[in-house]
Amino acid sequence: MRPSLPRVLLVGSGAREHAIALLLAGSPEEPEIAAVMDHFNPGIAEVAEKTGGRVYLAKTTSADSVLLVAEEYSPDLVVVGPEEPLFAGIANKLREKGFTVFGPDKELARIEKDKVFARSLMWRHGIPGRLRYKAFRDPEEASKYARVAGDVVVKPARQAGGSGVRIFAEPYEHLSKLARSVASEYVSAVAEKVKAKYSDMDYLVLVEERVDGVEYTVMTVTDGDSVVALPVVQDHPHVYPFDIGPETGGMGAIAGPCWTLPFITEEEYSESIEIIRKTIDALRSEIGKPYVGALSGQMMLTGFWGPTLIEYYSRFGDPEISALLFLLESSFLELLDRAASRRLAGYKLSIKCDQYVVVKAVAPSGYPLERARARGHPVAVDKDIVEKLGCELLYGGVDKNSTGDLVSTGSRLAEIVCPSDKGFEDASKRAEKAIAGIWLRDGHPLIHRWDIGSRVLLEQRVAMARRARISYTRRREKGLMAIYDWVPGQGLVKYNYE
Amino acid sequence: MGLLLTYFYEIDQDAGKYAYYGVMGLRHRGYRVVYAVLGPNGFEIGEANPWSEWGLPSGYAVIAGISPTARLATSRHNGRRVVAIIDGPCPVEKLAETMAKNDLRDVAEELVSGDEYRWCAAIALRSDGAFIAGRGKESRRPLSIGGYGFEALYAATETAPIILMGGSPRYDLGGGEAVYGDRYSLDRVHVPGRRRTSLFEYVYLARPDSLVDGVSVYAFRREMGRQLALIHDADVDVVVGVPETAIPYAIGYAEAKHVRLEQGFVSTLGRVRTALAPVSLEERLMMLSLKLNPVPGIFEDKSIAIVDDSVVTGLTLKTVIQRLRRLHGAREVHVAVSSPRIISRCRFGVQLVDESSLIARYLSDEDVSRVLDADSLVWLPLREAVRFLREHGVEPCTECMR
Repeated sequence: MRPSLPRVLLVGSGAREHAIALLLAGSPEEPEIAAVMDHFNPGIAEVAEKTGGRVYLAKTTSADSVLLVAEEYSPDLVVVGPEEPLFAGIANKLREKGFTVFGPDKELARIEKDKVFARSLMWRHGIPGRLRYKAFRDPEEASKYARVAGDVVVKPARQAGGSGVRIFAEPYEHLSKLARSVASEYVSAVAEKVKAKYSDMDYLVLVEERVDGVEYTVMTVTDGDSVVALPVVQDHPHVYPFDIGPETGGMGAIAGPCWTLPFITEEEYSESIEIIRKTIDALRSEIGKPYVGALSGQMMLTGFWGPTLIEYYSRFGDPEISALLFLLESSFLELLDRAASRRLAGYKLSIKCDQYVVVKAVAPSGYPLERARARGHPVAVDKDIVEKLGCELLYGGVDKNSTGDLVSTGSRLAEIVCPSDKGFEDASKRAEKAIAGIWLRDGHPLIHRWDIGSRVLLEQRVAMARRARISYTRRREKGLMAIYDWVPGQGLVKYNYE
Repeated sequence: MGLLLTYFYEIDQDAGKYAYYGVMGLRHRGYRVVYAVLGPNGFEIGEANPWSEWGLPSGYAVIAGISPTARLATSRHNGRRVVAIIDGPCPVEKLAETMAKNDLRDVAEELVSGDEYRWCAAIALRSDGAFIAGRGKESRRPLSIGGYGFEALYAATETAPIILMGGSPRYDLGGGEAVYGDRYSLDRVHVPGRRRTSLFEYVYLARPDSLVDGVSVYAFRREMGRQLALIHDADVDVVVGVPETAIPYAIGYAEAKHVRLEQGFVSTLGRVRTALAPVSLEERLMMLSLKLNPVPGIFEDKSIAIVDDSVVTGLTLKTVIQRLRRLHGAREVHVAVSSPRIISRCRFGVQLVDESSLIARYLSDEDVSRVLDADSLVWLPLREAVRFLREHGVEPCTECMR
């Protein structure tokens, strides 16, 4: 082993961390990569083995456990992948002990964990792309409010793995009574759930105005001063094709060609980055610490404001980061290391501009509604099938059982990532073929979305974005940056978005 | 003459309340709905007149069809119960039985490739929560799929009912294509097939606020109105649509002729399709006078073009023309029919006209004109309608038309 090679310790065991491991391993500095994970991810283990690193199994939300590993391995850089270890203060602890860490301290990761904090920060600092909301401590009060509010999104006040968000759309008045009574029941159920499960929250539930539009994700890397944006990626939260069915952590993604997607303009991309930059500044001024790590915005192009922030992630998005595997030209290690050591100023990221990337997640049937059905199935993989197609397989919700066999954990099992220089449809077709490279030995069915990357879906996005653009452009041209409501008996109410 | 599927993924949700609006969005297609609602305690099956006071029972999934062409059948096997509804002349009992006994994928494959289902569209629900929605390989009936937030999957013959249930249309099934699934999956089967959607859907059946196979019904009708005007050799001062369902055609007609479009009539009955009403001849005539009360003054000493969206016996039109001549002083009355000549009953059951009552089947245009007492008469040229739809990927069935 050459002693000059940089040593990286990666925290986490999902498909996101597998992607990060591969991105780091592909850096010209040829780092040695070790990982500390909650469950055994064979993909990360393979990267560790190839680069001369090793893997540790430990509870990654325990600061002491992770610190023990870090002290033993003595890395030059620690990269924290998932949000829960960040919420638990892993980054704080390691920094205190003198490690160079990529990932924000818990006070800053609160931007993801605490939805009420995130929204109120946006209003306090006049950050563009914000939505009206109301937060509740009392389930009953929340329920009463939802009954009269209408056309809302209900979110648990605490980040809960992408689930628990429900939309109560009222595109038509004839459905309003119905939608409101369901929303009202749901909001109190969510509030009770958060109350029972988490003791670390001020508020229990958030009721937010619903907006329509095209969703996309902008991920950035920052050292608290400089911000480097990654290319726009689109996630697909619905579990089934045609954007149908319950919400998931993401069933796939598309990215490319170059910095943005065909339905998001350069200008909209820049404005989205600006929202994140302003958030980083606001956090600095309120918390008094620099944000070091990844900060991502799950955005929506809405008819009201154009780029609008739906949620923050204090990390890279999953599956969004996977798309970077075939887009990145720069050294990923240098990017993360310069951010972690607060030397990001002047950094220039380069990417490939001739690639279309499609990511498809594969999950055992049962996900996400009944994870028990999806759990415990033996996993088989033929990597040759995937690699011959020029694609990459990322392991996600897998673990070793007591006999050492690979089994499903009940979440998204794996991701297939395929590039193409011909277009999304070609990349999607290859991903469809590559999916044959993973199956469950007991015959339990796997689900995935064959429509990701299809022309039909892309055309729908383009049309939706065009409608949103017509509407928000008119608002801007006329300088209409406020919303007025008139409530009989109460008079005119103005919500200023300037 | 229409199908609906409303499927909620959380079983504590009440699909019946949403499906109610879906059926309302299909009721212009007929006077009777058959339905099955699936809840935690099994199926409730029933039928109703959606033009009366009615409602649906509670449950997380609903299938419904507009009878008489949509027929419902049930089957039971090993404790599993299936309710199927097929629109068209295909064996609904067989489909229910197959679905009770077999794997969902096999049922879907049989539906899209089997000759006995080739003309039809079908939806079915099984007591374990499995569903299927598909079109036979040359299905005359369209079927669109939609979603409602993270909550539900919808399917309907046209897109307006999907929107009325709060959803968004997402995909139009082709011929030989079906989707099937349950709470844990959504899959698709597709065999080579064609969109042989009936031209009657575009001309008459569907709502103008719907898309059928991705084609805007309104845009089709307005364009056909334009085409009619271009071939109609008549000098007119005023254009009116009869009944109000003909107004999209009348708009296109007036635009191409550069003449004024007027609201010629006011209905006392609302938007009722008298041609589909199960009533006697006397009752139909009574309905007509209530439905088509002329606006005074706009016909006086004018040459009028009446754009009508279908002529079966010609009785409606004859009554209207007589009234305009006798009571309203119309100088000339020219007739533009925005459908091709209907000359036979549809063997796929898309329309159920009595062949012996089809004026275009028995009389020449000249004689039809004489019967109507019209100054001129044109029908929508079939080739124009077909050309328009072909350009949009639909190969319409025109078997009953000339």
